[in-house]
Amino acid sequence: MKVIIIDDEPLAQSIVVHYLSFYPNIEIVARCNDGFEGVKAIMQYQPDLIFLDIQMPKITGFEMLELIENKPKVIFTTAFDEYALKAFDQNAIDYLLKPFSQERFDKAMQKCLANNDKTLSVNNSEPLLNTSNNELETRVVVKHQGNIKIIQTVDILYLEAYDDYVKIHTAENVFVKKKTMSYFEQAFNPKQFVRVHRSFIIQVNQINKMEANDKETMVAILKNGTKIPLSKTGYPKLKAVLGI
Amino acid sequence: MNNYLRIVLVFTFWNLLFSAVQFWIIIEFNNDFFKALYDSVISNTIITVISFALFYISKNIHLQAFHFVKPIAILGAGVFGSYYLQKTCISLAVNDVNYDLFVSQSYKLRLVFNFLLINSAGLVSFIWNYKSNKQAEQAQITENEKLLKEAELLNLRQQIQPHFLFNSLNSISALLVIKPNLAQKMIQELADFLRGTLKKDSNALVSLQSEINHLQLYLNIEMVRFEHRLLIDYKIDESTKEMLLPSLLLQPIVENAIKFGLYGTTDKITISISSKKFHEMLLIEVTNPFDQEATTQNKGAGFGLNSIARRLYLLYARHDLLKVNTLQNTFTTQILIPQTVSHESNNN
Repeated sequence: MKVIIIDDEPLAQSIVVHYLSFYPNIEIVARCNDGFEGVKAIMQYQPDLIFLDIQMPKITGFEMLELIENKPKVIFTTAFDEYALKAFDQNAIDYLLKPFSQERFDKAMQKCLANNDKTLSVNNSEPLLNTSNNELETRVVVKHQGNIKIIQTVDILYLEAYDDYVKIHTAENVFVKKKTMSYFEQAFNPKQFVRVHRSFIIQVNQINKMEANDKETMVAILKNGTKIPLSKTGYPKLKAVLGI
Repeated sequence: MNNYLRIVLVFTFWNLLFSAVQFWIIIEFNNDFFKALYDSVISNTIITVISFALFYISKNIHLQAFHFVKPIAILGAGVFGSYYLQKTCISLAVNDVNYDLFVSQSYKLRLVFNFLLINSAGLVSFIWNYKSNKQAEQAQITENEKLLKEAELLNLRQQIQPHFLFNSLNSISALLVIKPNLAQKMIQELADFLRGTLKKDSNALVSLQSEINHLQLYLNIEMVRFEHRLLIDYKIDESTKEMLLPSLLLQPIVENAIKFGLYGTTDKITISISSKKFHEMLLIEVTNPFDQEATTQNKGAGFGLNSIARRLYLLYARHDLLKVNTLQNTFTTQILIPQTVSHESNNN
């Protein structure tokens, strides 16, 4: 079983290494100090299990996971207890609160090993509930031309549905992320981002004006001139947010 | 606004009262009824407007900041200025050369009138300002007490960041396996740091040297956790070591810098801590690198500093002692600690 440990504190990595040394069939293929190294190592080694810290340099453990297509099993290791719900939303095997004992660690490993046979049923499901999303996202992390790019939500012009993906339009570029439109609708501040159409979410600050497209439909014209159609349900929603 | 309305009402009442008196006096000199009415109403309206203007100026511009000559100059200008204004207006309104002559002849009486009115307006503004200053002072005292209690609580919570504590314990747990000697040292340092944090009275002033000693305990722990990435660079001016600052002020600032340095970039980071004398005040600068891409909007690096700004305000009643500065990829926190005022607040 291939394992990768991702934690920005070497000592925190080494305690996991130590606890793992009691398991004969485990091979630690990489130790990473941040999410960037983590993404690379996971792509390279395709591990079965990762130990993942949450608060790390530049991108969090959660943001790192979003960048990975075939997710390995995840055991979170963190001193923050407030992320537990979100962690289980991400189908984590377990959530170890630092500092943790060998006994607690073994329990997590047992869960993981017991889980080994029926991975498929767990790993492929999208989270059903956004229970933990009481905190709104202020940035999105995407992969772009082989690099990892952090986009602040204020820089987003609009989002566009694109099959199984969402196109994120900013002034400089267009990025693609494998998420649903309704995910963004919930994750972003609803006073800032409005779903004005089945296929479009726009940032209200980017709107220059709204006008009739033809007799039936309305469009919003962004500051950079882009026209975004407003659907029959989207237009009143947008008006409500703008307070007009 | 309501207060200004009240003062306008008081002044209007005066205007009417003195107009009546003046009217009565002028009639005594066998003047025409309407001319006397015009004269008294115009004179007193002008003086009321000028009094109100003076009141407004004294309220909004700090007269205390002026030299004592200035109020006298203002008074003189008010008395004579309004006399000439009154004369011009009356002459225009009454349009009678004989009456102009009467106005000129009665200048002594008019000057006395103006003088008395402006003086009493001054008195009213003085009492008014005194009262509202007293009220504001009282309000500030209560507010300060409330903030102080909150700050104490906040302080405790801030000083012992639970994440710092848990992560340190986790490091100790790892060290116990790899390097038991180091684990013991780290436990010792953690204990000393916690003791230092709990023991200190947050109002007390300490020397920069002792604050740095306390900071060092904290940094030793952080260096064990992040030894591969964290470098600390001290530039402490010898002359500042005995200067005073509120206790436990430095550590949260450095902690903030470390946090934003470590989580804001993936590279090695150097935190520099420097101190120097600046106009007889203690100037401390803490800088950390960060990556603009990863920092969320503007709150970014300044986020953890609100409580520091509040503490400084509580102690020195100044809002300009904490400054943050973002220059390309360097974030600088600057604090300025007055050395004189601090003794006063020490007595409280």
